[in-house]
Amino acid sequence: MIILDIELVHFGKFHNKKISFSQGLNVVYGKNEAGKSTIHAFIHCMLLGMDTQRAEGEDGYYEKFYPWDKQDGYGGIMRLKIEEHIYRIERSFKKDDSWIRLFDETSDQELTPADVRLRGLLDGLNENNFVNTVSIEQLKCSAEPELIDELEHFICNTSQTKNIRIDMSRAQEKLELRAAELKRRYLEGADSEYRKCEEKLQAARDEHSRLQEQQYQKKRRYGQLQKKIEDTERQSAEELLAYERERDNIRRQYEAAKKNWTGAPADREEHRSYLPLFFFVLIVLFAAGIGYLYVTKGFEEQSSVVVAAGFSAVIAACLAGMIISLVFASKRKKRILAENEIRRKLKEQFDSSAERFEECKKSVPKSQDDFCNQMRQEMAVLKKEISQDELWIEHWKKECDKLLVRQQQIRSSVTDNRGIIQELESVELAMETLKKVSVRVQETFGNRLCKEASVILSKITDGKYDLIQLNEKREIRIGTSERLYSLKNVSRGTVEQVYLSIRIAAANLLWQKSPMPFIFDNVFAYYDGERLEQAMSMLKDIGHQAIIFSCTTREDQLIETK
Amino acid sequence: MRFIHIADVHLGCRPDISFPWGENREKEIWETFASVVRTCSEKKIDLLMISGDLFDHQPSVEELKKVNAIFAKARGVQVVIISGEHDYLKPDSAYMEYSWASNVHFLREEKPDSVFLEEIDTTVHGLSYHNDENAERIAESMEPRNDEGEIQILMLHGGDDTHMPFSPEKLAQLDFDYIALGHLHTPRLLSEHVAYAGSLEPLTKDETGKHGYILGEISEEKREFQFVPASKREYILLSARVSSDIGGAELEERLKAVIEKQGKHHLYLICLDGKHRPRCPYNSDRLQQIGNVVEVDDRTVPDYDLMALLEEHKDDVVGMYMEELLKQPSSKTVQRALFCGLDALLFQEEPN
Repeated sequence: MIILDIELVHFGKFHNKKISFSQGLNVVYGKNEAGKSTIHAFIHCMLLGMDTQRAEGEDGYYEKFYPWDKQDGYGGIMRLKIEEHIYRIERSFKKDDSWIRLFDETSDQELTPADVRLRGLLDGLNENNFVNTVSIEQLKCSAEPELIDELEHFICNTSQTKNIRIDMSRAQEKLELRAAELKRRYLEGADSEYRKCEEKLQAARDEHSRLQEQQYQKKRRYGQLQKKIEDTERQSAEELLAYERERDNIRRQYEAAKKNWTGAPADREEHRSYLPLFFFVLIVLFAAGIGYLYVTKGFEEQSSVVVAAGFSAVIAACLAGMIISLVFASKRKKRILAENEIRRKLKEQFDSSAERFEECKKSVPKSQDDFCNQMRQEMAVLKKEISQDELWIEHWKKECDKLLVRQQQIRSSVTDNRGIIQELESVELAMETLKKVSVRVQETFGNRLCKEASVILSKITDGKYDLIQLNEKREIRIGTSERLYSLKNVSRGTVEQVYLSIRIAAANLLWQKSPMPFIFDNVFAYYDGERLEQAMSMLKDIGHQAIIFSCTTREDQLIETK
Repeated sequence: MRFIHIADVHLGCRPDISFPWGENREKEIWETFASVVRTCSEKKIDLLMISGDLFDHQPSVEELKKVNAIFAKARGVQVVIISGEHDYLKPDSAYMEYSWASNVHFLREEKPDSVFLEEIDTTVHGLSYHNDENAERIAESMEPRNDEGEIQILMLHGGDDTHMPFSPEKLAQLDFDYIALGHLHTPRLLSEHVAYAGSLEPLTKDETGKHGYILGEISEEKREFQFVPASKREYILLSARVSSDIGGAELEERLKAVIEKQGKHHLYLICLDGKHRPRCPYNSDRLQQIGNVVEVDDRTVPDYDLMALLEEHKDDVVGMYMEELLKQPSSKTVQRALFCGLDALLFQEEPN
């Protein structure tokens, strides 16, 4: 591919600026700020468009190259020669009016859709490989150690990833970091911990319900005892009451019996009757009277007989009276005796009942206390135990809660772990794949790159160095088959030459069929005259079109002289 | 005859205890349970059935007392309970000796048992667990008792391989007017008259959707069974399909608005699908903070334009890497590997 000419219709400081290029080496000379990088950027944008990534941002192309005098247009024209056909690209970059048109001038027709057709023509040239190969800028660092670093970096990236922006070891490192982070988050033994926690929780629950049950039994026993005491108290009271009632009952009987007694004083033991005695005295008196009459008068006189007879009659009457009264007296005596007996018995009963009551009054509360006190003591013990149990129940409930929280946390860790393992698998797959791919790049592209670059280096150093090697520590060594040097030990100019060799080699490897044009932006500043000459002749030899931006006229002069 | 059927109340369970709202969940479960029983007496429901796992673990006497007091207040409501595998009848279980209020009937037997409720002319059949498992295929052979025209209802707890396995079809063919199932925590109708009531309150984040009880009516004329939501909270799945132009803060705001609308007291599972900006995944920890968020499942992938990347990097290591992974059989692992490799390769300038 050859860039024939460009026309910066409105781009940066340029308006309708036309520049033509020839097939071989072209030098664009200009002092600083002359617009070299504007032209470089224009070529870039004409080929690949102003993609958003490049256009936006602080240092973005869009603002940077927006026409200075704010003319309506923002764009230009470029003509290319590809395989004997001449193509014309017209582009406008304006944001609200951006377009591209592509013409085949050889066959005089417009190609549509332009962007797709252009991509086809450019043979896989894209943002990436444009920056990686075609567009060659000076190494940015000026201090030597950093420069070597940058170059080593560049070569490593190119040979391992085919992309100067992508650092394989850095990518690997990042993945390793990610894997380490995942491993840190992984909770070792979460499953077994979960089971352990489950067991503990079961045990705590069992203990909790055992204590609850135990406490419940104690409470029940407490209630039973309380009831028993109440019962006992009630029973004792009832018992006492029964005795009292019995006593009162007997007293009432006694009183009632008393009312029915026949009048004999209750307190006298015997009741004598004097009536028979009286009759007896009368009988004796009258008998004495009769005897006196007989002695004194005999019974010749009639009057004495009459008197004696009268007396006898009286005696007979008195005898009868005596007998009758004797019978009565004995009957009465019997009755009094019987009544006395009853009274005595009742009294006895009453006394014993009263005695029993008194006794009971003393003894019942005592035995009741003896009986109840035992239970009261048990109750006190139970009460204490119940409140103690309460504390333990509380304790185990809290323990259960704690374990439950822990269990739920572990459960979520177990879930997390699953996710972590899956992600870890992915990261490991990524690392493995990356390694595989990078080894493949190194083996195919990387080694060929070094070989190809060695050939080019040999050319530009006129055989002084003919070997570029990349060792495992990502260090570059150059030299000959006899001797290899570290880049630290060679001059800055040599370092730049190595850089150039690698870049050209990379482009050669990528565009083997049809060589791409090279754009060199201030690459040769550190080259001495001899080396510059060798570089120029090498560039001529490899047959690419080359556009060299320079702020000195040395390149131009060299080409002129050739 | 009108009934309410609940199951898997799991009193004493403490869901989400490690989250701020977890503190109240145990209490809320009790409250919802009590409110359903209250509803029974308010709506003059004849029968309340609890198909197992009333308690999350072995109940203590105190707990039974508490429950019994709640039942006792529901005058005119007959309560029938069976135990499930969580509160199964251990020999020393407090269930064993507990004497319930007169309106409560506990079908304690491990073999099919029944209770005839004369007031409502209904026989309720059922059986309880005496172990934490019961793999016997007992359900399909249950029979209503010699029918004299009364309503026949069956209560069962189980339905998986180790808990009274049965086939729903066979169960539906049994000659019962209604089959009140427990064990599976998601409410579900197996056939016209066979239903899982589901857990009364949702107990884990897997139990998304509405939870409550089944209200039924069986009479000569009709038989109607409907699900009635009754839980205090719900687990709600918020699935969001995002694209890389939605930033983290914007996503948070949007989800917050949705949560506000659906009810802040509910419990949310956030599932993100779609794409995020490369290297700027959504922050799960921050998403956890926008409400009662139980879980954030971020399935978003970085928004890489793979075709463009392949084109751009066709001859460097990035392209080769992509090709290498893309030719492997597609899987989540491979996809994730692809993206984390691209992160590592393409974003090297940024610090970390």
